[in-house]
Amino acid sequence: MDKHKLLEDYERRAHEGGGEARLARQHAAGKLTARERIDRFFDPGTFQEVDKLVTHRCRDFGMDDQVVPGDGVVTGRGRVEGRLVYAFAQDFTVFGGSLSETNAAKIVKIMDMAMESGAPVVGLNDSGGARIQEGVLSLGGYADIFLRNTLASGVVPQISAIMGPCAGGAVYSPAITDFTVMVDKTSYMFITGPDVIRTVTLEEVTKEELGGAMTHNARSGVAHFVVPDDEACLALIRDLLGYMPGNNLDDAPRGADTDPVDREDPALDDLVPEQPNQPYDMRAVIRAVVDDGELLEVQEHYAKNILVGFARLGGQSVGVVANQPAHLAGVLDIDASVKGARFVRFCDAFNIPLVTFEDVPGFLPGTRQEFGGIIRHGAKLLFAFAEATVPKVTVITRKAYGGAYCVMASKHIRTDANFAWPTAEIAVMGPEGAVNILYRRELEAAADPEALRAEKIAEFREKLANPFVAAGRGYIDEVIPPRATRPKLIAALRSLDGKRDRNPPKKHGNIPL
Amino acid sequence: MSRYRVTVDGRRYYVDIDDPHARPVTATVSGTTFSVDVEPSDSTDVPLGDAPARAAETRQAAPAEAPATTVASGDPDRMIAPIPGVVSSIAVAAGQTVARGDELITLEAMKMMNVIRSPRDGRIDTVHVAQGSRVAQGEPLVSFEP
Repeated sequence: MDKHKLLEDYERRAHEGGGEARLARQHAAGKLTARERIDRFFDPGTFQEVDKLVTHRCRDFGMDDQVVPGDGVVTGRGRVEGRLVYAFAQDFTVFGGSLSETNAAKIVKIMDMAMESGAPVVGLNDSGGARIQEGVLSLGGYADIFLRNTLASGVVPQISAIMGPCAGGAVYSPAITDFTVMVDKTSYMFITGPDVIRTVTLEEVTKEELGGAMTHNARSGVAHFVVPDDEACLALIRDLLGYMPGNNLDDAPRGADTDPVDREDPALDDLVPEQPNQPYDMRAVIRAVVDDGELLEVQEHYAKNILVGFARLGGQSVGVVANQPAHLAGVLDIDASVKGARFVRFCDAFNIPLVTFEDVPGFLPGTRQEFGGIIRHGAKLLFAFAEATVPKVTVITRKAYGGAYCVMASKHIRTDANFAWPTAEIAVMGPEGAVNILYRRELEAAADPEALRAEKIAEFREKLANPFVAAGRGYIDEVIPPRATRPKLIAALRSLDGKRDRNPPKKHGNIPL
Repeated sequence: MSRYRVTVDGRRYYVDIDDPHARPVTATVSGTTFSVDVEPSDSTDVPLGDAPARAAETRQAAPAEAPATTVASGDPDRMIAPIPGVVSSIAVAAGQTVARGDELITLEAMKMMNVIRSPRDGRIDTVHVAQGSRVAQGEPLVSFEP
């Protein structure tokens, strides 16, 4: 055969994947094919495929008759908003997207290339699992990928999209990556499926309940985003990449000013309710402060008492961490601590400045929390903030009580600029609790304990539940009118452009996992 | 829930819509929930789910209730205490019909009046607590008729 014709034939077979019938089935399930996903993900015409003609080497179980060029995964690099990104897309139409020795080698190859070039890796997962015919070779392939995921962690951003099944050992690659996006109703993640669970623990559970997108977004905290379909998934990943540098040595992206840097918002002055026991939505504060009111929330359905996400301030990409008084009083519990800690560490690893909005009544009391290990989980958030060397800026809007004050990017753990609104209350505990302890004897002896209590509470509130004691010590750099929050934050961040801080040389810290 | 990406004057918004066929449509943009009256832009009623930008014309948008504290207990028929606290008021009674987002109970916890809102439409089967009750985290507050 003519050599050119031969190449055409190879190309055609690579593009056909598992054949027309299987591609149609993929569409019928509401999913795009691997190649369609790649096309829509990258800037048009920028995708350069690698290893299109790789085939598996299995000669058992009749596999020698079934050879598809590319072997069930499309790999390569391209541009996202003009920036270099590497990606792989598993092709469910070829052997169910199962992982073989050679298709794992393709993924490993582009991961190594991404590390060399300092570019993010995006994995579009849609796979039935290990290729059983290949046995331990397939398992070895998984482990090779896991190792690359681990080594790349903190070097280049890694994002996983779950766009179909992802079960068994396969889940550990997304688990190690920085962000996991799940497509609602078509994606599943679990270590063992409903059938095995029924046999082993006698529990009845559906695939969706066990490992669907909402399960992992709202309950387990395994996933960070839920999207309605493949298109939305790819669009979200493109947006997400826009907040990140290509690698740990680059600065976080800074775009043009789209929103005046000196914009004040008078509405913020009245946002905190006068009654300290009334909630308000911290999102309203964030929206009023960041560029164009745009916040890309991460894990928005999980541990809603803490809010984390990406935004821009004066064009500068920042990571926002905020207590949410509108949910569970904004208390720090196990889930919120872990959610916050992981996000803080991502931002620190990739030079994204941290902006903290604080209104926290403290850590959640109770046996559930104590038995669940709130001590070591809460310590994660403390560790993460303390270890972070990126520019750190904090605004206390209302409560900053107890250990939670220390944890939430306080001055003492190397935060560069600490602001407080006049409504801030910074103390070891709230006035009610403090008075009950400090004046226990007097209250017991008093003729009218309630009157005495009220008097002492008022006195305590006046003396200590304010930002001025902390400002007098320099723990708060400036007490600012709420309306001026945006200009103050931007000015602080810009003055921190050249910040250089480092931790002592070490192999790695020992974050209390 | 479906998420739409809308661009207005070059700015991108993510809009979450529970049920595009409901009237009014409940839409959430950057955490604020709006109740939106929708009328078809022409005589053919294009389902919102297919072409959100073209089919929907916003008449008025009113911010809905303050943020909801809803909790995934795993059991959709039961609302559990998300935090230990004291029941400070109860807004519903057995047999009452509630809509998603309606206030069920105010739970005073961590010195905050936490409004517990209904996670779904339904009818209240049982209210498990009384005003002044002290509840532990995970204790049932309200059951819905299945």
